[in-house]
Amino acid sequence: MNEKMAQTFNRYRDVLPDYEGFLSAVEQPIPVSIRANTLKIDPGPFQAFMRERGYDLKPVEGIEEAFSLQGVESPGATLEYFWGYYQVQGLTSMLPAKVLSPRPGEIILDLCAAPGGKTTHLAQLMGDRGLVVANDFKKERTHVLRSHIDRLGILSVLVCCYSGQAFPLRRKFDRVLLDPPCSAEGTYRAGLAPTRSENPKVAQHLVRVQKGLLQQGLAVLRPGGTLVYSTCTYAPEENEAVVNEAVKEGEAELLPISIPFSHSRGLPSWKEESYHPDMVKTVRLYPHQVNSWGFFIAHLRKRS
Amino acid sequence: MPTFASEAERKEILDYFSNRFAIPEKAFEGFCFLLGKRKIWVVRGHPELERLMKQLKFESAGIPLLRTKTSMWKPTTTGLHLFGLHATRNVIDLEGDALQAFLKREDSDGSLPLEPGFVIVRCEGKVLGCGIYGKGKLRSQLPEKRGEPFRGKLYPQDF
Repeated sequence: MNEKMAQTFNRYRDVLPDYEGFLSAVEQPIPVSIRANTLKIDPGPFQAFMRERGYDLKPVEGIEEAFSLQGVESPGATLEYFWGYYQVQGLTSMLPAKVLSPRPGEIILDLCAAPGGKTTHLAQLMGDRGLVVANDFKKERTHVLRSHIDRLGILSVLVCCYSGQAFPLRRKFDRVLLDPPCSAEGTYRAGLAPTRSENPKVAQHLVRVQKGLLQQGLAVLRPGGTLVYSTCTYAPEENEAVVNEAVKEGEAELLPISIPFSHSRGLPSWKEESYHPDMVKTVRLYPHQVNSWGFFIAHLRKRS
Repeated sequence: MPTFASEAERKEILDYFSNRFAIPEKAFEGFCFLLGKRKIWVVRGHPELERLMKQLKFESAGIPLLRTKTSMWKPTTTGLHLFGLHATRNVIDLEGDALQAFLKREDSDGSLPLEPGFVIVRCEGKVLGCGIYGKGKLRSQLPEKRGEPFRGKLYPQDF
């Protein structure tokens, strides 16, 4: 393992269950998982279709639209991908949209939407009925987002390019998904590059951005509306500490989360800092619990 | 950002798909058309859509359906993947060498039961994309970038 990553992970030694198992898991390459685009084909017929065409596809227990795909070097370069029958997406990346659980007809905001895996999943879960506002600060990143929207044939997504921390307040949303930029420690697996948490200045900047984004995400949420905050990092400073800012003053409350995979609860404290007692309702996913990216998910409701 | 199509403009779009591809108007029920400088977009209808589009500035809405830069409207691959399955006119199923040529964006020769102009090309009954037919030649209009990875490769064992 990269030495700096080993140092990064070492600070979690006391809070991470089965630390040796964790270290062993991050040394394994990540399996390819895909999400069937149920707007075009239901999971059952998709599995049959793909197998008939020669793919080694296995369903994932707990997420009916998720499959693991083996033996395909470039899953984003197949005819079936071109047809928009599936999206390549990490298993744990599928969870934020599932937790947010959007309903048909609602108006949803994805505040940091690119490259679009979660945005398109939101639209899919709504049956493409409703509206998903997909925002990303960087215009060049929205090109990838739009290419996924086009390929998957999604008609309910509108793309905009505001700074998330200054997103206009004139519209309130039923639900908000906030998957902000993070140090991405959870994406460290064998053969992949080290993450951004190595640089303390970058990490501090990320925390400021995350707090600003969460504040704005709650501001554009209608009273009683729900927000999912998710990151692919283990850093409590970017997870529990950010969420704690929103719940400690009573602006929002934490909701319980149901996850179909083995997982851990959010941390009640980190170093000298104690968090709101409800922080245990948040979820941490580690690669030795579910063979995918490491993730953190919090589900919040804005108080009326 | 594009503007909402008027009733007359909507009818023009529906007539295009009906006349060219025999796609029934019903296929577009529940969707709105937006007119841009060079494209027509199709987006899911919603009671709040118009207000939302006034409140925020958008880069895109829904998917591009038609390119209108020239006098002859050109259907997009994305649009055909969604609405082309309803077409019964100017549709051709390709196989063998003709299919391979289409996937490689090469021309193929031969008289086909198609009217000159843009046509819908299918493979195994599924819409691949747009072609242009004329003077006994079928020319692929598959987007260069999107089709590049699988060009000529139909099954996993072909890779």
